[in-house]
Amino acid sequence: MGVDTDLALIARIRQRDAHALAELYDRYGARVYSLAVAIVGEEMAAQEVTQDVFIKLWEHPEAYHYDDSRFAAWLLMVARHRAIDHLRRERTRGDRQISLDFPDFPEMPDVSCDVEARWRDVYHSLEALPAEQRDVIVLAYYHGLSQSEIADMLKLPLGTVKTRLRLGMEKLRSILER
Amino acid sequence: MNTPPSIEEIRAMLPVYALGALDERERALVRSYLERHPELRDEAATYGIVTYGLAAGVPPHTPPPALRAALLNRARPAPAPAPVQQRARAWDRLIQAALAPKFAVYAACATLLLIAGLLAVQVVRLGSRVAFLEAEAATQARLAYILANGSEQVALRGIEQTPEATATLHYIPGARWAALKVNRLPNLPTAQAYQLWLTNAAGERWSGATFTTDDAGQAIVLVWCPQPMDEIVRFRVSIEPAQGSPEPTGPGVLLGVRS
Repeated sequence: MGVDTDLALIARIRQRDAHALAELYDRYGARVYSLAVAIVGEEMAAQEVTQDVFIKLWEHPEAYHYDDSRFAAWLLMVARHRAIDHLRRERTRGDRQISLDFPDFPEMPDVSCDVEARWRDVYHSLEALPAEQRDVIVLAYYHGLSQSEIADMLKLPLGTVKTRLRLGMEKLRSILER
Repeated sequence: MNTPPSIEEIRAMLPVYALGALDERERALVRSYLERHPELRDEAATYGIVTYGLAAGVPPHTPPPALRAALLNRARPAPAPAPVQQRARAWDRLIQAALAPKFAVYAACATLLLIAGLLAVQVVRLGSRVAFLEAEAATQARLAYILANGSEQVALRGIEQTPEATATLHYIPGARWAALKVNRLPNLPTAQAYQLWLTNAAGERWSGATFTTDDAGQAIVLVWCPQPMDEIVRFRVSIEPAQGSPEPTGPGVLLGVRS
């Protein structure tokens, strides 16, 4: 018996097969948890975020509507979304409802050639970027700030922030294309 | 009149769009262009791969085993143990079939098949039992963590017919799990249980836990709320049917109101 694809496991989750949820967790749980730790910075909160992500998938498997090669990207996007929500709650303490919606990104990338070292290259290349480009990308991606919020925080013109974000991302993309 | 942005201007926004950092107006603008220009969609996907790298390339952390057990516990209920009487009747039938001389061969085959089937069922039940015990261990681990690290507390006092009862809800700020320590709450008949109700400032209410107390009237209960415990302003325990109730129906026994 072969290993079920991610899409096959989601179909089994629709049939309320908890073993399928367990298999997806075994495949991606550590990755989701690692991202949650990186964003929220604290293990207990990261555990909550991770549980929420998989429970949400269990309760709404129909929310995944891409093909099999995009599930990893989608799941990490959901995880980031949930973790950023947690951060925002910590920042504003009660002023903002937790968003339990699934984020929508129609251009979900195909990450089927998922080579671990390739992604580590991207992350480590972030560290090698000029500090002003790295800082704005970190604030945008790991802290969930918009370009306007970043400009306010760093007391920079909005155009400067936009340029730094664009240049930094272009450099990271060029590393992936090597 | 504003000139709509060029394709090149939209292309320059794609990296920030992939980061999710565009302001709302610009995000809507980029989306509208992506719907009409497939070449922009392909380019947006390449930046999506970069953000996937930012997500997947973070330093690895291993989640605690209790997290998996807690997740599966939430996704499925604990199985009920098989009644002993049904297993005893199955063995009786087996023995009778084996002793009938006329059909000895057929009875022997049926017996072997039945034994194989029972063994398979036992394996499945044991697996479920292990999962149940894992979930129990996860609950205890979580309770211990909250009691050790929960800096926030809410006191509940006995009301109506249980004025001597007390309870304290412990939680970590921002978390949705809490630990409820109960004292001097009488043991209930098996058909009943205590149920904790959590109400926020908007009047929305959830059931946080159902529980029973021991002979000493004590319990330590894991509580969960869909919203952070900081947002709950009213904590009430009432007597309900053993399987819980969708709404409070019975008399109140404990009440705590956040000042």
